[in-house]
Amino acid sequence: MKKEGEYVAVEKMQMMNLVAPLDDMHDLLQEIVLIERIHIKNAVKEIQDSNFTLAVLEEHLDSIADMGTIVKYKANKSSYKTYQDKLSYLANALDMILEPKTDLDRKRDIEDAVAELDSITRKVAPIQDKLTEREETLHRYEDFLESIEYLKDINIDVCALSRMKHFNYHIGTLTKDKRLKLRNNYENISAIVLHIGSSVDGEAYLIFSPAQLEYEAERILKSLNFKEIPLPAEFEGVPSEIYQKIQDVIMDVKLDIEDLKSQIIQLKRDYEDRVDRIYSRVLLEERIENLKDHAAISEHFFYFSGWIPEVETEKIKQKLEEVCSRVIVVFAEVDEVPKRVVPPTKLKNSWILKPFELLVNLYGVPNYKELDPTIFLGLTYLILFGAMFGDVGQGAILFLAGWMIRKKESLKTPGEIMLRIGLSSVFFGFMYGSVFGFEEYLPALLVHPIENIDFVLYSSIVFGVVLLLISFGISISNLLKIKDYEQGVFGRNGIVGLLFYIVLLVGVLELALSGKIVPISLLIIVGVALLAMMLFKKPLTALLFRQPAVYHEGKKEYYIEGGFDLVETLLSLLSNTISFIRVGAFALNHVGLFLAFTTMANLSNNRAIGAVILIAGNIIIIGLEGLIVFIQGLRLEYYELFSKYYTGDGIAYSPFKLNLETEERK
Amino acid sequence: MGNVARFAALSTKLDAISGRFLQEEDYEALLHKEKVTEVARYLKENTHYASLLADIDPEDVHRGDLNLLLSRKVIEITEKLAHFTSHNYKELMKALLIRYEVEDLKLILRAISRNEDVRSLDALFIHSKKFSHLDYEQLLSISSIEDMVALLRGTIYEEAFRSITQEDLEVREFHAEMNLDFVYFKNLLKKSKNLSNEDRKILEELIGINIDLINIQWLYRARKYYGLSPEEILNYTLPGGIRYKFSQLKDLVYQEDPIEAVISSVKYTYPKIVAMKDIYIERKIYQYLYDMFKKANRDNRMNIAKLTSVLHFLEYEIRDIITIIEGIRYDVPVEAMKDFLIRNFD
Repeated sequence: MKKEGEYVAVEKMQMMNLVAPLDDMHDLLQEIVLIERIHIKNAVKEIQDSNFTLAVLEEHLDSIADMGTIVKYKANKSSYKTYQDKLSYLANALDMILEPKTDLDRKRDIEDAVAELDSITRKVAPIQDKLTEREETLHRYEDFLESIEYLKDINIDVCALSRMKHFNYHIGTLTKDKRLKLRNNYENISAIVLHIGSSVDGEAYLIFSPAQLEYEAERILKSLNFKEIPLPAEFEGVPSEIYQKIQDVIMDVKLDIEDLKSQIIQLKRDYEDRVDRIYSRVLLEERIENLKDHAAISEHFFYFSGWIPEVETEKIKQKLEEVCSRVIVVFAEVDEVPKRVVPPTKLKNSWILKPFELLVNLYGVPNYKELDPTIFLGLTYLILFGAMFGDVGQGAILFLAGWMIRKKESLKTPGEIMLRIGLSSVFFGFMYGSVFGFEEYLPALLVHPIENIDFVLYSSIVFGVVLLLISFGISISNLLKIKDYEQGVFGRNGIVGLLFYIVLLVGVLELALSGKIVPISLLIIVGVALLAMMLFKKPLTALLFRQPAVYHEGKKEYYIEGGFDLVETLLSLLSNTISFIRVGAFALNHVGLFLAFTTMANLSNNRAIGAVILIAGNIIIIGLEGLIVFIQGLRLEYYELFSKYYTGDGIAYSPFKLNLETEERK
Repeated sequence: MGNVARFAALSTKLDAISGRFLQEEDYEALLHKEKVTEVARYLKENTHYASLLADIDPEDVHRGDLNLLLSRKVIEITEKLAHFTSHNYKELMKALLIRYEVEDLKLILRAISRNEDVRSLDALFIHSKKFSHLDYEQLLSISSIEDMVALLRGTIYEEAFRSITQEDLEVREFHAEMNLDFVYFKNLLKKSKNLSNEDRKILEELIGINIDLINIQWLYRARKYYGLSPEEILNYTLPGGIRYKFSQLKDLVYQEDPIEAVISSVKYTYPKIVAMKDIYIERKIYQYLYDMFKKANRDNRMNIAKLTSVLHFLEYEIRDIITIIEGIRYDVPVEAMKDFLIRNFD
């Protein structure tokens, strides 16, 4: 059964209330996490208390008071950190990225998963440890190699160096600044300093100092920030021989590492899927714990509430009953739920206009009760953008750019929008007969803007008036739907406001055309009467419904504010309308900007330079003007139109998911 | 970009900041407080430190916590000002902030050398979180100098730690500290090279004088308290001084009595910092720098001098407040306290 206006409404939600024996809590919550369809957040912070269910239950507390005391569930956040650590160790060792999987074996418990985790770890850890050890060894030998390289050309046995009795030696590096200091004070240093090479770490030196002065020498070296390079004690012989020996050892170590790595790859092949499943299980348990924060319990039962899309109620109920036969699942319509529990909004739009949800959400998520403005915004935005930026060639480029960037996940929606407004631009390009700015090659199906300035400007205002009238309609429909008659009937965006706008339009039209269909005096009388109704909207509503009028801020303030409101209404109606002249102005501007480039190109008197100027001009127009028009179009939508009919104070539907990250991204 | 365009926004901000500095009356009022809590309340109710102390109950504030909060003010302001700079000037702001990171590293070094728990230092850190170069979470989990060296590998601090050992921490605390200061000044000089000519010259002079003063203090301390050999002293000195370049410093350390030589040379180079007692030297030096910054910014031109002077004035103001807090804590008479203040109202 489709109600009227359903196609622009948001997806219907139902509140799911669930009662089940405490014993089945884990399994039911597990199912809820895996279904990934249940929204449990509430916008109203005060009542949230991190427990959605309790907030819902409180409303019905009277009816359930006889069921014993109901309290917030205190989740014993038993730490899953150790498991997570083990998992990330494994993932790191096996060089894999952990991916959560939702098709889990529901009967498997965490102990079993952890046991398997431990057994896999026991297989991987020794190989990983060995690999780490080998890699460290490799690094050590490579360091040796680097230090011995400095000495390669010196033909002395390294052992002989350390056997010296009256002299000590140091090999190490100095930075540039300290080297300068050493050189400038060399005469006071009791040591022989030999430069033996340079490295990324500074210049390398071999230093001999008398054994008797060892203490002084060491302190001076320390003050120079001298970095000692240790020589490998296990090798003997002259440096060039040692060099060769170390290289051989390094070869062996590298072979070991290769072998170990291939073992790891084999292990990865064997266990990757299983590790993912263990990971998902641990993640699931963690998420179940999180979900428990939202549950309430009495002695034997637990209670849980959440929002789900209406179309899925039966399916979800069935799934939950499969898990536990004793579960009681009750669904409540939005109207049956107290007002302060705000239902989430799930937009449903056809693929053609879905990307424009981004532009709507940029302003605010529609609340559950109001019409989803995406269709209206999407269609009008397409027209506004195209009309301001009508060009077959440039539009095609926008289309292609959108086509390309939407392949990247993070740019998908912006790409889709670009693609659509590009098409709209192409369409208007045919209307205007413009391709890459040139107006000679295509016939204008509608009009060449620059040659019909008046027509373009007038028609954009007329278009604006149409949009504003539609906005009034949506606004009135929204307000009456939530039974706000004060605003819906007498408000500035209500019926009276709409009538006043029409009176205003007729008046302006008559002045402009000096026609006299309706006498001006009558218009003024009706206009003033409508303004008065707006001013006295509260007492009038009260009269209509035979209720006393309630002034929240005091009577005097109400009328002062109302007075200013009238002035603002008058001004904003005019400015909202005039504002649409920019649609025509940008269509003209678009041609004008290109004219400027054509003139420059002609002035250059050189075909090549002229072509470069025209190409640069097109790039600038697409980039700069495209951006400006994009923003101006949004401005018209947000400021001129949304302010009429759209609140955008809803919360987005974001169901509880297994993987926290994907939930956040939504 | 010319200096006017570059400093237009920054200069307005700086004027706003300096307009809020404490006045003589504030100093008088603070000096005559009897309790630390009264100082805290005065600062919270009457000065630009109000926002900093917003969450603090003046009646229940610990002296150490108050000092720490105040110290963070300079960093907070520097971060805010960095927002109004770009490119090389932003780099310079970051280089200025390294000083506080260096202070925090010194804290960690001291804790390691005394075998204290590093984790508890978290509350004492003052570095800029916004422009930090380091992973403090990991730094707080280390237990030895080797861990620290490994963590700092690849950062600009690596150079300061290239030869450090546990022993150095215990018997020559100055080794790491001088090397860290070296890193800070070297980086600062490097970053000031990229500024406009006018600003580069101003900064090189200001930094040069700063380095001179640090070097002669080092000479004095190293000789008097640490008993280092001339070669060692010389090797730790910072390059980049103006009136004490390497050769002048070398002349001084190889004198028969280096301390005497330093004192008599300072009479010619920096006569204003000569003090009767050691405890006043630090104050004299700060006062000298205060005057220097004031002079550099005297015609309030659109250049880097304005930035450095405002930042330093703020720092000195905070030092003075901390001096007053300490003075009150140890019952120092008002007149004696005044002798330790950097701001001079005569």
